[in-house]
Amino acid sequence: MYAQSTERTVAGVVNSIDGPVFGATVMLKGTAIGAISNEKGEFTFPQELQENDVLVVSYLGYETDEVTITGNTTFVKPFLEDIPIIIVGALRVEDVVKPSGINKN
Amino acid sequence: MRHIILLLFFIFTLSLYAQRSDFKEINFQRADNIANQYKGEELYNLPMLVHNLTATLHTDVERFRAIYYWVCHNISGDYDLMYKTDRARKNLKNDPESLAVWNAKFKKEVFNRLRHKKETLCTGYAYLVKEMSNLAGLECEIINGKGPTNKMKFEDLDGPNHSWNAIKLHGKWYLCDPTWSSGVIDMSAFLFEFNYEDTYFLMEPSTFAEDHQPLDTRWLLLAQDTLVIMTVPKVKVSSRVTIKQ
Repeated sequence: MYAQSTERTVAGVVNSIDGPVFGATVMLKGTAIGAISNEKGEFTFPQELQENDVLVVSYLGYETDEVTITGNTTFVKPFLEDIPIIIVGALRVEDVVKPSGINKN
Repeated sequence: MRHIILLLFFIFTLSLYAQRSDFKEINFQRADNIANQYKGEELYNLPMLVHNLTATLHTDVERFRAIYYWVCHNISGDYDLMYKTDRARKNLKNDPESLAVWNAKFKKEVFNRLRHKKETLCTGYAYLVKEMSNLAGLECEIINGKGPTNKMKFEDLDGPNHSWNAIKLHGKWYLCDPTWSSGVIDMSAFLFEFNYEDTYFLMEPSTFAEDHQPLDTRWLLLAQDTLVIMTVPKVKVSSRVTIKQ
């Protein structure tokens, strides 16, 4: 028996700690082919996929997730983790009288 | 004789520093033009934006340049976010638990504002540069630390108030500050103005250290040859993106 690399349509739903993710980008790794999840986090990939294809799922503000297509996968459930980021803020501020050179005062 | 040895030592160490002049044979005009071509693009499909910015460039430093230049010319600084952050950090500085709760909640507001309005503060700039670089297959880190503005000195700051980036290019780490490259806040109107400052792009580390003090001092990058920083990006997408027919 040879292992068959059968192509199949893959759908899925993208979730995060805040619930389904609307507008997550699902890209086939190494290509510019992708899908965007709907308001329920659902998507159907526009191209048939095969074993070992990798989907890269991202949304601004969350960790990116990767899902590898295996065996007979037709439905995937990527989960985007929260980013442990510390919010700090120092913007360059302009003086009333602008000195020469780099000005961040 | 001692002076000559000292001079040689300085010349030697200076040449070890990772800085923009390492790439003096590269003309960034191509990368800048591509970034200009995509001016006004939205952040809703980041992988596609990164693909568009980088796919036709041939070196990592040019790919990074296109991302950096695009971020600095399309994301505005937001005085309101900066003010709120500053106030919360001052009010809650002796209450780490409340500060963590505030941070988790405010983080959502920061990312929403970035995504929908392309407005942010330094954390958002540093985050976006890292995220887009990672999508282009480049190692990039957010560095937190002190960045005194407004005539302040390092010692005037209680804690970290600023974030910037370290980017690994051709095996070496480099420093840059997209927030301060992007523009300035006009304090007479509390409004942001784009005013691109190129000197913060791959700035020579000893100059960078004059107004950037990282919490982890290894990120000063003043001793690149002894630098052992283990960073493994969680996701690394191939930088050679091709469109399948």
